[in-house]
Amino acid sequence: MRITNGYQMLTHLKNMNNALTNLTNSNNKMSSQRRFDKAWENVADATRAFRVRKQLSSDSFYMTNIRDVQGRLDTADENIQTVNTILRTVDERVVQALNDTLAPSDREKIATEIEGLQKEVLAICNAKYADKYLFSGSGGKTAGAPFTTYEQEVTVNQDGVDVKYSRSFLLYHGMDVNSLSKNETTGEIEARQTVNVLDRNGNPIRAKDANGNDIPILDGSGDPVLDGDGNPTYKFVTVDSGKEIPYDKTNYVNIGLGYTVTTDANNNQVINPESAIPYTFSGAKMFGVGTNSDGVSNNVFNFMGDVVQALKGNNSNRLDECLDQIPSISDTLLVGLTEIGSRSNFVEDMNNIITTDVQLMQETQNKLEGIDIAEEAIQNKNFEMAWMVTLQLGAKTLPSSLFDFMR
Amino acid sequence: MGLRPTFMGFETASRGLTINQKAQDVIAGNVANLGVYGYTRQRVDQMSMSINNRNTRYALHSALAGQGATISGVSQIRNTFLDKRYREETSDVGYYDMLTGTLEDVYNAVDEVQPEQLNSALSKLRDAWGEVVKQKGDEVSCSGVLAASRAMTQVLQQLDAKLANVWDQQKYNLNINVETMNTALSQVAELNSAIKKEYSALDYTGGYYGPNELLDQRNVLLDQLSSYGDMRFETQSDGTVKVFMGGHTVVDGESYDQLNLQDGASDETVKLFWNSTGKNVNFTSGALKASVEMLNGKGIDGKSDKGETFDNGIKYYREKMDVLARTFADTFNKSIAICDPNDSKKQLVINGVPQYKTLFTFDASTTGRGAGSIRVNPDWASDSSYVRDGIVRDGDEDVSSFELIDTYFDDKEAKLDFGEFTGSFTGYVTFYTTTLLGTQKTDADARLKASASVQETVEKQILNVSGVSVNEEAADSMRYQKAYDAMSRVMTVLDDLLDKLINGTGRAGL
Repeated sequence: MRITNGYQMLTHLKNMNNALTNLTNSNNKMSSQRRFDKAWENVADATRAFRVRKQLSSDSFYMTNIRDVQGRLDTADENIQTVNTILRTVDERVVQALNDTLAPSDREKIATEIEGLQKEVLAICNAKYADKYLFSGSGGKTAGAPFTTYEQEVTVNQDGVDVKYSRSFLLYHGMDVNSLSKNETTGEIEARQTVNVLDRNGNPIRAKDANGNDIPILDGSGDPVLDGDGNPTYKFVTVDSGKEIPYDKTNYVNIGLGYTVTTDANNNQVINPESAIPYTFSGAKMFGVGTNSDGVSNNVFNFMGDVVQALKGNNSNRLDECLDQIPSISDTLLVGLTEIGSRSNFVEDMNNIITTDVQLMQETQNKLEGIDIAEEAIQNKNFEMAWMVTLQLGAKTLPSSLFDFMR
Repeated sequence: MGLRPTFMGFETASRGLTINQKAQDVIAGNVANLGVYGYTRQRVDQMSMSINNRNTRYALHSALAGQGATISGVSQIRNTFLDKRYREETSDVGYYDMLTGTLEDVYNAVDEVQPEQLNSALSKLRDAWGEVVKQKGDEVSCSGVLAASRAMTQVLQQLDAKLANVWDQQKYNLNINVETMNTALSQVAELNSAIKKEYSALDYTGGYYGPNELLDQRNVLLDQLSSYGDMRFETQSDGTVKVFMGGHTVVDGESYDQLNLQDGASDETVKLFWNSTGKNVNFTSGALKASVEMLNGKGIDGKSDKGETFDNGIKYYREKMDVLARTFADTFNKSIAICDPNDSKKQLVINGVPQYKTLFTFDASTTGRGAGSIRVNPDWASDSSYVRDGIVRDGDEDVSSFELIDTYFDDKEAKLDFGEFTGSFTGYVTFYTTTLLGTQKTDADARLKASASVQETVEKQILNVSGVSVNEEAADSMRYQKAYDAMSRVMTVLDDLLDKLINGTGRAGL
């Protein structure tokens, strides 16, 4: 085969270029620590790498949400524990007050103490986490503080004298807590009100007895109750109206359970509750609503108000009834704590799962996108050697020709 | 035996000297042209002289034997078959080289490996919507989502601008190539005319002796031309070469055709046609074919009446960004309901169609709805609380529509319809910028490597056949030198003979 200088040069140049290209690529990889800089250098790995990146980004999104939920759960837990402690203090004081040897002035002191504790409880019910009310249900800034109070004058009998004082009653988003009730089957809080049925002109309709006569309202001794103008009052037809509690929806955040959408009873698109975690708390559920058969409130704040009223009126029977109510209120608080506890455990588990996932994804990402330093260093040395050899050989073989040896 | 001319030997000897001197000249020429690109080694064709003695009746050929040698011509050693193969491979290399270069430009515009453009903006947007859910649409979170949405539209606009830039650059590149090719065509025709004037007698191989340097120049030009488009050439009997490209005669003797590049049937297409016929150029390979494919290619939606083709070109990938922008806008424009002005608890419904707030609009001053024209609705841009629907469900704090938005970003759950693709935004981005584009480029790279490798092999063969081998020239040089020495000795001997004859014969005793 005829070998020409052109052929030798071409071959040598191509070899040099190849060796230099390999060496340069290897140097690039060593300094950037990346296996590929452009996706087309390794399409399969790049596609996989992008999926891993997306997963890592989603994981970081979920972790933020988890941290938020965890914070809310922890704060709610602390607050309810505090209320429980206060309740125990009230328990002790009531037991103390039931001791007949106490003087009325001492009972007065206990009443004042409990009124002070009541204010603490109100503050806790309106507790915030990161500038947002914790127990506000789904309410936000416009909803404002979930718990407010209204004043009403009540009468107590002190040594046979009727004394009036102003007492605070609790409102949850503007609804009287004592008039709310808990549906035993669903566990949801409802407002059951008795309202008058109105006729076409907006006037209440009078109830009729079996003979079609109006039914007058009578007092305890059988005398008709008179209104302001001295006219007898009559019973009206009433109906039970279930009213919607405001802000009682549950809000969800995505913590990586596989967020799905479903349609609810009203054919609206909503988040499937099994695919996300709720992070709202209904203050009404947490702190109790309604009254029991004795008329003592199930709600912590109102209950304490009942205790204060009983103390001020020196009403031992009433105090007894209050003492009997304490376990029930404690139960309500504990149920809330349990729910928070189980949610907290679940969130903790998700936290662990996602943290593990993040580690795995990072390892995979390293394998896909990062170089193996040891392997690459060896390759680099090989390429460098190949380059040096190519240079030396070229220098040796190219110049000599027959002309050099002619005499 | 017949008569022998007395001074016959001198002619032979002097011819011998001349031939060897000429051979040395050619060797010197070869060695001097060692570094010249495209130089084909030349060789002195010597042949033995024979005087035709058919007409003499009495002299036998032996009387006139020994006339010596003469030069029939200086020929080039070149293999036309290798040339043909080389030019075929060069066309392919030209095609894949242009293809791979353009794809790399497109890729660089939409590169998501580093830094992330779309993926990063989408991730920030997701975070912003998440905050809106958690903060129940308060002022800070609403401003945040407005800013993130605006950033997203800006990324889309940038991508569109970059791809438009790539298109412009490729068109400019094509323009330059067309001009270069046109110049080369005219030069080939000129060389044809010059070569034709100097062509002479047949050589051993049936080819012609011609002006070798001009032939070399023409071959270099033909090689160059073959990289622009598929080429076929026929050497004519008068020494000119007839060149066909894309099935069309581009050079015929001294006449040549020119390429014309113009804007195509619609915006951003090009039309490449021959000056002489006005017909569109139809190359089967070569850099110009790749250029036109990349410029006019709009994928399977290409409309030929608009001058578009079915290749996945620059316009195809630009259209993919447009589809992303449209789907993005359409999806978000169906997520926040408009409150019925007459009933604050319900969504506004007109003719049975529920109404949603327009979050993203398209700038009317640019053509079409696409990545270049997507904008945040000015109503929203001026008031970040626009995203709150105002529908009274539990007061005006209902965040259920915000909650639903996160599903668009979930890789597994999102089933957004992009036409050719169904999935999430990031899935779409990865599919087109990485998988599809990356595969197309890798494919082109592999074909380029294969073609270049074959081209290199052929090139080496050509060099081996036609290149100058210094060692060979040195050996030849020695041979001719020895022959020259021998001839001069022969001349000296003949001179002695004649001297003897003329000066020493017939004069006795001197």
